[in-house]
Amino acid sequence: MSKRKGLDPSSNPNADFSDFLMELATYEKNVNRAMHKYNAYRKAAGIIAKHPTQIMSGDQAKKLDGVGDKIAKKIDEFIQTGKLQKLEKIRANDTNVAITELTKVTGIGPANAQKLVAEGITSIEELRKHQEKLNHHQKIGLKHFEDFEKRIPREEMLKMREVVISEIHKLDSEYTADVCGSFRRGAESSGDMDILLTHPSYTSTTKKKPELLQKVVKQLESIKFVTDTLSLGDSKYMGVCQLPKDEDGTEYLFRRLDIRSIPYDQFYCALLYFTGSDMFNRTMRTLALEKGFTINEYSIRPVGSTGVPGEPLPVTSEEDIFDYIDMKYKKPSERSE
Amino acid sequence: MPEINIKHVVSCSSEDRNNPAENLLKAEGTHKWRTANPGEKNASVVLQFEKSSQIYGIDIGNEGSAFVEVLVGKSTSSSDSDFQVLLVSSSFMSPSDSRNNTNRNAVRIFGADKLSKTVASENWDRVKIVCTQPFNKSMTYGLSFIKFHSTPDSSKAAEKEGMKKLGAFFVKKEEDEDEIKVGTLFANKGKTTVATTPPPTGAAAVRAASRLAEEARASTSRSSDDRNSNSATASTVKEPPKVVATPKAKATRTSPKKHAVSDKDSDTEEEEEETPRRKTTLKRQSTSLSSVASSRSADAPPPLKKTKTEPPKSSPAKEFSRLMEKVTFVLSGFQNPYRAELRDKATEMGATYKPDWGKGCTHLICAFTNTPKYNQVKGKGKIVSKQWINDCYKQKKLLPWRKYRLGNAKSPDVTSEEEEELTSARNPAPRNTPSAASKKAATSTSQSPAISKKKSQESDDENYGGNTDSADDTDEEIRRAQQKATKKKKEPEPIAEIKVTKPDPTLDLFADSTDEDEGGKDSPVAMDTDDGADSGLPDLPDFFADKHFFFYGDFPAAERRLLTRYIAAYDGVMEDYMNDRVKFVITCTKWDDNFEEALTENPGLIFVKPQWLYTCHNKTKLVPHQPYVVVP
Repeated sequence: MSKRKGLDPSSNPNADFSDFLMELATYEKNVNRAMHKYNAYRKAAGIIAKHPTQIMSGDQAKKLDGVGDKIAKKIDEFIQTGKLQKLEKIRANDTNVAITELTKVTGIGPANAQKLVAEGITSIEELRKHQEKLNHHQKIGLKHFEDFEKRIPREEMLKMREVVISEIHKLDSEYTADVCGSFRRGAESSGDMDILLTHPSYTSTTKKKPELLQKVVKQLESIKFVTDTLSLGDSKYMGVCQLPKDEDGTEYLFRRLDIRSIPYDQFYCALLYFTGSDMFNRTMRTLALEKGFTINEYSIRPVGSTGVPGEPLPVTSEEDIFDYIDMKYKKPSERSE
Repeated sequence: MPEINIKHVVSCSSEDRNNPAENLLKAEGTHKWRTANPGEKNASVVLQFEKSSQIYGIDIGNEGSAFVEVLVGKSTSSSDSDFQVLLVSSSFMSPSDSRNNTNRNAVRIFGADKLSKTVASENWDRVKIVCTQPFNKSMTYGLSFIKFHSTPDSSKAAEKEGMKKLGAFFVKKEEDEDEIKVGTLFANKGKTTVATTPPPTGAAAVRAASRLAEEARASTSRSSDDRNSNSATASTVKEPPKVVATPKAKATRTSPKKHAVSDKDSDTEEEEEETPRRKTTLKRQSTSLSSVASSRSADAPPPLKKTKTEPPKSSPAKEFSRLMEKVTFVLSGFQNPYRAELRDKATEMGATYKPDWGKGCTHLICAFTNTPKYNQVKGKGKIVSKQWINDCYKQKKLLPWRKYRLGNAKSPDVTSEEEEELTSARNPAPRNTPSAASKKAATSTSQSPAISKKKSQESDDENYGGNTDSADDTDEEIRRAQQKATKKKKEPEPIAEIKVTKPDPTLDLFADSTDEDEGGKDSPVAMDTDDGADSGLPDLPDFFADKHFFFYGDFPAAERRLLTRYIAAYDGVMEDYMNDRVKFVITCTKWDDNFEEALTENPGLIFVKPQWLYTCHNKTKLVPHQPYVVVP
């Protein structure tokens, strides 16, 4: 999951609400490691951000799916006082702030951050002085910390995509590659770039083909697009990339790049999954179960009479998956909820 | 892979009047089963097999269903929820096919690899097929046919299971079966080296024997109801065939299904029909059979093989090292050093050790119940505690395994050697009969008719004398007989005979039946290996020994069977699944990525064309595999 997963900070009338809810969500995740609270806040934040008109009261918000008593009260409090006491307290607590700060570095999770804070490292600056505590991944994350904090404008994503896809096809025109994530859903900016890669010679019944992915990474390195590698496994690459300098001298920032090599027959299920949004995925899976199917990032399978999932069904497009569960096809841009 | 017969339809969720579920029992493709109404959420039918079987493959012909799932259960289980998934819900029609009502009758063939391995390894007698058609609510759907396959081996087992209950006895699988099957195939190879005897003699002997055996069984089972009929039973057995009421024998038999299998050279139709049953009878009733041998010896010249003696047997030292010659055992639940100790003891007594249960294994020596191997073997082999080995070792004789049986796992059919024990365990009264008979048989095989008579009189004396009480067991009797024999030092042979070759007459007869199968080829050479499980068979080279084979890809059933036989014949081991021991992968397919993957896991693998096996077989030796290797 991307670290930059967040709401598009495009102007919306309820940005204040969704922002503070997101802050609470992040706090729950990083400091308390309460994933369910995190999800609840995030869901509410997403719903509120999507609301077309400004929300005037907690009661009004409560009518929205995903907003309950507590969140409604918080919205009321925010409307009345312009701030949230719980949030103020959180912000006032140095440990909380430090943990939240450190987890922004890629490779540092909540547990790692708590450990570092306990060791007295409470800021990025201090972390830079104690790089010996970090692994390779974290060092790179720290090195490009400021760049990674910045979102990638869609414009730049398009350019990056152009570079990656054309290089991949230079290698082998049989490769299929697609940028997924919020970009595919049409987001104006993205936190990182997530690419799914597949090749007809690699299916779930053949053995793993690490060379498929490695060739691509090598190629991207050779043209100096990929600058660092955080990790490279058989099927997943995590790294750093940077667009070459523009003719007018504009320099591009370092960006996070993930590439996943997917078996050919699982590509569309993976594409569906990694396009998200996660809320949409959850909704779709629930519907699938009602229809007697189970979907995951690998396959869609019918559920047998005793609940045992059946064999993976053939899928040749995302539409097929919608078709199986008798759901109207939704374009990626319609999958943001 | 023979088909498993379906006995009847137990139930179905719904059926069209013109396409009832009963149609699934009819010939393939001509009749269909459909739901009564379109748009039913699912359609299920429960079928009853004729007998409990392992399922190795399923062929399904569709009739408009989108998904078909196959579950298995047991008719003995009370609740419907006891069904377990054998074949997960599998796709037959895509949504668009369903909506357009096209491709309604796809046929899919599911091999063992498609079935749930844990579930497929057990025997089942009930299947539930669940069809669904969620994509088109306006048509009825169902199946056009469904076929279940068992492996050749399990079908043999199944054949016997059809006779699981015979009178008071339970019958279990015969491990020796494999070897005999192999023999039928390979006997011709060895023919040149083996002296032959007049064919009809053996076959005729078997036929006569089987009849008598049957009768004897009838009498035995009869006497099982009557504990005091001991002596009467004994005399019954001694009587010539005509005296015993054959119909009774038939009446006591639970009727097995009609088998397609028949011996080629059966003289009459009646014979032919009776053959499979007789075979089983032979196995079960070894001891009665031996009585046949003795009675035969009285009125006709005994078949050549029967006169074969086994002098080396009388040497006790050798005996000890051959006590467990026919035992191929697997250990479960023992840790070193105790494991090694047990293994050494058993091998010292002539048993063969195998690390894992496989073809030809006879006993599982198990520390406690429910070990993985225990569960694997239950119903297939004899499961005994370590005490069996220890006691056999201490007492220097092969003790009946039954007393050492571990757990309540159903054992397969009683092999010859255990017949007496079984009998004694279940009902002591008739037990004396077979053992006496066996003694007679033993003597008759080794001695002139005169001595034989004398001996049988001895055993009769025993029977009529002290032995009417059912309490004493076979061993005791043997001991007594032994003592008697020792007293008369002049004929030491019977001791050994009784002690060691007790089970052998059965094996001989076994061999006979095999010989009969292949055209009455009797080989004295084969017969002289009284203890050898493969008696009656030509000696086959074992150049595949310790080689493990695995079939990859599709083979025609006949070819696969043939190849399996070759492998088994030359002492190779077939693996059902890929594992570390596999050395040779037999495949008709071209090199593909799976091979590479397999190679990374097992670098020693050799992919070879089936032609290699044929060549090895034709030359009866191990030819270099290199020319037949499949290369990338």
